[in-house]
Amino acid sequence: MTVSAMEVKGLTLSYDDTAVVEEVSFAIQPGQLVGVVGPNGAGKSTLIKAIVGAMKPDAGSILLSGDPAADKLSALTYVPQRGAVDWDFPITAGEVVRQGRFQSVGLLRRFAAEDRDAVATAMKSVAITDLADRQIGALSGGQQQRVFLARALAQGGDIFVMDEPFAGVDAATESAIVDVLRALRDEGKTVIVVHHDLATVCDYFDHLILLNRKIIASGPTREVFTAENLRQTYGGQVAIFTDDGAEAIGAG
Amino acid sequence: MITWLVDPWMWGDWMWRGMLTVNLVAIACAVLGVFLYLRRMSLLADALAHVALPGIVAAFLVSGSLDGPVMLAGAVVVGLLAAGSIETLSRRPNIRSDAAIGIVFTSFFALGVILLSTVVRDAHIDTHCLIFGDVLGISDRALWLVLTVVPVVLGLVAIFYRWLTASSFDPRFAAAVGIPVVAVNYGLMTAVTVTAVAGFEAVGAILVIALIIVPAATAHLLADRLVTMIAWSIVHAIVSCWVGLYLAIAINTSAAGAIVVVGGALYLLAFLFAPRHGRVVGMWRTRSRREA
Repeated sequence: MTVSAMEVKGLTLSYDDTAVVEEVSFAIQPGQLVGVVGPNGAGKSTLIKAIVGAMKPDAGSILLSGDPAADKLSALTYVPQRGAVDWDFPITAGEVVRQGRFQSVGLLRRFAAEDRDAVATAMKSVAITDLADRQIGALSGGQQQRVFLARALAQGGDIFVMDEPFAGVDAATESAIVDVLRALRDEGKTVIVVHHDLATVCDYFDHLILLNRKIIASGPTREVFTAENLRQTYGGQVAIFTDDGAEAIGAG
Repeated sequence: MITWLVDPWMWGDWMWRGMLTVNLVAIACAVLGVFLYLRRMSLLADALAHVALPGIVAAFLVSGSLDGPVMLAGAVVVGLLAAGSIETLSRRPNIRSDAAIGIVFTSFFALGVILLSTVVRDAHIDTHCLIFGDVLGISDRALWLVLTVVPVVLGLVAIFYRWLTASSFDPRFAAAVGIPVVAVNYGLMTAVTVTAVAGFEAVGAILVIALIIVPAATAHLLADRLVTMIAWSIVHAIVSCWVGLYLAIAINTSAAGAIVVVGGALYLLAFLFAPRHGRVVGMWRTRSRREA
């Protein structure tokens, strides 16, 4: 049996003694595109914070390829929610992408040819090369999201964790991002995406995790995306109008 | 005109001492100020500058001396204590962070004032100088303090530039790539406290805050990149110091006051005429759009 790319065991997370995520366990095989879906306040972003090491769990553990996540942070690449930064910050798109190389160049070393190549390739693969000198706030929402994806690509890594990459972006950007994510998966990387739009879940993800403070279900999307599971996740307040979803509801 | 520019330098060495000190302090403040401004922590600089007063008094109580290093150590210890208290308080869900800053630093400062006027009344701590500064009467101690502290602070900013940038722009990403975000934060606060203490004799506790906030705020109106913002911030600091000091001599007024007034005027100019973010340009653009 192959080692899971990520294994979460009995994870409990809380803010000020209020548990937000309770006893969460799941495992993800390498080379999969994984969706994390659940209602607002389900603890999706909190779970992501713990995975990238920005939050200490009250209980439980996170293993990356069999080792504690804290020892393997360099294998993990994080793309934050777009709203998390200050758009007035005096920084250009190109400089943001260059930050992706900070981990490998350290504090003082100059950017080597290899680093510059990584930056250029990353920008090209999401088509933002022309925007390199624009201040980050002067870009559209979709362009901003692509800049952050390019930074993640320049950084590299085996596991990519993205917090709602499709929030507030245009359709063209969404499909460009999905193409990049699929390419990563096809290279054998693991991509974990917090997602909101149930209509596209079946199309995008190989593996689906339904979360509402606890794990409702985790497994291949086809098996997990059922009316019963969704009702449990969203508390019966969900209507789905895709073909698959309609079938699922009919079946449930 | 020329004599007016040259003469002050011949009246005694206080001119070059004052000019050198205030320029160095202003440059260090301008650089640190950029990062504080971008982290929305300008008010915290205000707090740290005030808290340095009880820090200096406490250092004097403990050691009985007012040497530069002792003063710095005292101010840094008390400053970090205050920063930690503010951080702890504002993390409570029912306390707003602006209120936390206000509560902590006024309490610390008041405590310092009481100590100063009772327990350590005999020490030669010049309250007036600590609060308002005395640019044209820089002591050897203050000059040496500035000459040591400022290069160290600027050097540290240069070394940790990438960490400072990444953690100011996107702290969660910075943490994810292994940058010690919390340590960077406290390091920055230490640098601010140390610079403020070094600058006390030159510009005083209140005006040092202006040297931290105003250049950065002006530079942000003019720059789209961090390096340009830092450059503009330094330019603002130097121009304010030179124009302000000459102005103070010409009309025989408080040097620190004149420097800050000039800085404020420069901000107003940038606010009105900045090429991309200025009000006048903005109004002109709106009008030509309407006419088009």
